Amino acid sequence: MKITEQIIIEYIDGNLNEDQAVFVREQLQTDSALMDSYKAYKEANSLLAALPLHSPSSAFSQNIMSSLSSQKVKKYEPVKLGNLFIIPLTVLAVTFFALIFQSDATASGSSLSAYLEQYIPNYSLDIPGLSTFKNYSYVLLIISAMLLIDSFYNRRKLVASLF
Amino acid sequence: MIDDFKIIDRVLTGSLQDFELLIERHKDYVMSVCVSVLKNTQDAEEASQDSFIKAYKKLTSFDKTSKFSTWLYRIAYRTSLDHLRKRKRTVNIEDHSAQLKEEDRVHSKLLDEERFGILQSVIETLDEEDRTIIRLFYFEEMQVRDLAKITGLKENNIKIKLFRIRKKLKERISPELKKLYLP
Repeated sequence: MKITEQIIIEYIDGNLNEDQAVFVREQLQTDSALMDSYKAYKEANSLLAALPLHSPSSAFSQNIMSSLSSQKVKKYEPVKLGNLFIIPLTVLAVTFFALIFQSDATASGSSLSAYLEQYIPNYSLDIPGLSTFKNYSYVLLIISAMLLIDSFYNRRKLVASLF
Repeated sequence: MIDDFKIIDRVLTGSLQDFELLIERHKDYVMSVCVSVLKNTQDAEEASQDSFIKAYKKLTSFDKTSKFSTWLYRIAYRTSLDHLRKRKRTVNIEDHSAQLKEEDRVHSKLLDEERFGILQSVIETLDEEDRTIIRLFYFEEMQVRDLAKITGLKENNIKIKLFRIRKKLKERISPELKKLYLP
């Protein structure tokens, strides 16, 4: 193995395995040029290791802390029980509408469909599959409404926290 | 001594005062990173303050997969580079270098002045990236992989840079050493 300058540095940094390190040590004992190079690198290393740290002014920490005290950081917040109600409510809503409006296809007189027929001309279209489509539309409508309510509730909380 | 992760947990649960412990623990290192990029203690102090404020704001995003210091130095390095880019004024860099050199001399009374002068002259020739790498490498025996995380360079690039810097310094030191060892 030819000992390059890179290997000398790896030796100084302690990155060589035991066998390689022993080999380099032996070569250093016999090769004076290599030893000179090693000494110079050791010297460079010790100089660099002695580079001084720079300290900021004495008011440094105080300045940061006073700046931070006027700011807010995002903190860990436990999930509030109230927020968890959105999940069972959504499930209930979906189940409710799936059950109620499934009977819509059989033209129940008290259904939303019958109600809408009074106000929307040509509402009751006799198209196969339309009933299922309507059911899904209702479900999506309800979920959207719930999401809207939830976002409104969160916005109110945010506004309240600002004042 | 309480470890950094525990202090971070406390800060995240609302104890702002505990953040001061982190500042006290890391301020000299952060300042040194900033100085190595900006070559000016006044600008470096400003960048250091910004770094800590950024670290505080982003604390929830620190995932604890690395040391806090590595994460913090990365912020300090990036913040210093931002400051460097923003610094549009045509300051005479030589003046700042001279000021820095003087401060370093005062700080390192233990070092032989002549050899320290050589070190300074070599460091002056390095760009901000190389100066930061060489400083961080000797901080807390920082590993090459941590340096890669901080600077965003590949590990091999870091190794090459470290080698070149030390070779440059060695070439400057060798004649001086020969003088010392000659009878």
